[in-house]
Amino acid sequence: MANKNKEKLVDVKNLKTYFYTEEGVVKAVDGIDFEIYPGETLGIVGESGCGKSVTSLSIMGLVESPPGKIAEGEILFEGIDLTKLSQAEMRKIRGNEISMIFQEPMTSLNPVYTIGDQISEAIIIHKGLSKKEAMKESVEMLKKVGIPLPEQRINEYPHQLSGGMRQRVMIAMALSCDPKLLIADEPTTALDVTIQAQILELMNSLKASYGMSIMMITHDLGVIAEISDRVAVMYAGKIVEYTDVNTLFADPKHPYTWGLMNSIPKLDRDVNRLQAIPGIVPNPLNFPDGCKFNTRCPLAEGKCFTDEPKIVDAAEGHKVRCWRYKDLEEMKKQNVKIYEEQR
Amino acid sequence: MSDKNLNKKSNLKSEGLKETSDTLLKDSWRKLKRNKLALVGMSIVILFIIVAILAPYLTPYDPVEQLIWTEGAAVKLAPPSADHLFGTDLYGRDILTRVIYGARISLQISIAAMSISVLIGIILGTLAGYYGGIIDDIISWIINVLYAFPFLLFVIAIVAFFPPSLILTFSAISLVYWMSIARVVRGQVLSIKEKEFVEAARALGVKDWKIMFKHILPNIIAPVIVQATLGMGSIIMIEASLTYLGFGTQPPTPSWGYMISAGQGYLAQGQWWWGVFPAIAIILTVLGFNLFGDGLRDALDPKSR
Repeated sequence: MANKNKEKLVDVKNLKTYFYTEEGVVKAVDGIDFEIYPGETLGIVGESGCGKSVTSLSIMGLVESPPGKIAEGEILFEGIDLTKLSQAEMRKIRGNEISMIFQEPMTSLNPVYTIGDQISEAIIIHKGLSKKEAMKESVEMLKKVGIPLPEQRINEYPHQLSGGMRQRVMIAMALSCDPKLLIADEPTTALDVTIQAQILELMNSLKASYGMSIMMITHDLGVIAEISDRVAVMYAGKIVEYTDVNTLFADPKHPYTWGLMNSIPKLDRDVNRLQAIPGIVPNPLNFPDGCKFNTRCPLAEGKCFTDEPKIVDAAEGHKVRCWRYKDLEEMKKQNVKIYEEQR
Repeated sequence: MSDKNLNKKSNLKSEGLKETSDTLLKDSWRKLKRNKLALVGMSIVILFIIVAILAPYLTPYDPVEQLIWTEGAAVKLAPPSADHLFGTDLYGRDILTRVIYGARISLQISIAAMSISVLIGIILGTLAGYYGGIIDDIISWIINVLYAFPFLLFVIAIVAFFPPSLILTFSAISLVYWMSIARVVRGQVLSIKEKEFVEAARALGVKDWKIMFKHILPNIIAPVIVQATLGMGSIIMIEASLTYLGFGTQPPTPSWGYMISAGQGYLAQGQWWWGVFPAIAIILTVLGFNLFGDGLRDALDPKSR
């Protein structure tokens, strides 16, 4: 954790983003803390509905309001609290200092404008260049993201490009103003595996050359392993485990993370059946008392059903939110299978 | 649902054939060409527009000059003949000429009324669809209240208050017609604003009004064109009905509605041409716009192929 000495780029403190619906308050993000250092990639992993996308929208200031609202907490970006900025001030940061790429490259580009029009839009807004200069920049950007024949491509429409190409265009758009932070919301989910690998490789190399930080949101532990420096595992609006990527894969301390690891097929181990985490994510309108994971956790007992655990330092730079993480440690040593094998 | 189809298709295409950028237009034209009824409709619409524009060159007669004062009783309600193909009316005016000039009035009013309707409809529909909440509530409420009124009665109620004029006629029509455009626009904006490219534009720091009118509007223009084309027929009908009832275009300006109302008294006596020819003109034109509009709807719809 050499990063510790550096100044934090993003520092999220006790962020709570709630949605006030007619059925009740949905606590999509319920008190999370994390930080991103310059030049690093933070992975946020979790099942759908765990609040990872809402976290990214909160940072961008794009939570739809109403019904959504940042109820509490701070998002410090270079020391400035983004939650206190006006819409106009946020617009200057979006696309300029913080950019975002989305999951669905098929619908992330406007079908009625050319690639060049769309990349140059951000350049014109934030750099104040003329249309002609912005188009030149766009060609440069397309070159950087590895699109062949960029001079031709800028005059083409999104439907003329494949999914992988479109995601490259999205990345070119996002990076056109040299952002300090790139938020990537499941950027590879809609792509097939070979393209996925190419895009991740591209992001890694661009990260190095631009010196930016990446916040990678995904449900795919494979993507996390490939690109992240540190990882936050989210469950039901909270971070349940937070550590660097090697530690997470070598020594998961939360039963949920442990379950996720065991549900991935491994090539080097001969397993007949995969272990699966039973049940589903609880309804956000009706979270259980105590630990939110107690409805699915094989280790849940007594205290887990009454008191919510705090996130604690289980080891140096390894945070976990579980009453029984020490017991899990023991079970791992004795090679006990805590999850049933899937039938 | 429709999006997925669209995406799949465009994806297949981008992997296979290389395509030019005017695909949608070409594609739509190809589909339109296959639809015979739509082509008939389009021909009628084009003919109607040409006739309206070229009116003075298509006929030797003047639409308002009353020939009975110069040529006598022979041209009073004369049946169709080589000189007067559609016959003449009570004042010796050539009915073909008046039908041709009537096309001009109809076209002027329907284009003017439709332009205003589209303008109001797009602005209010986009605001309602994009912002939602209280703005949507207010605009939708106005639309629903206006819809609750019988259309024609409402126009008459407006027109009856003021001295009749061309401007009043099309203003009154657009005052009640914009809402059908606004409804279409609102619905389309509601669906387009959920698309990721709108979110992406926001994430780039684009301003709201620019997102609405630069990013969303071009994506909803096809249904608006369809609605406007279909609406042209309705507006021609409304104008004719108003004039027929004496509220619209005033004589001696040649208008189809007025000719039917003046000519209907002579139908029973056998002098049918005064009322029947303008009626045929209305039917054909409205039919033309409807067929063309229907064809456009199918042609511009990426789902049908």
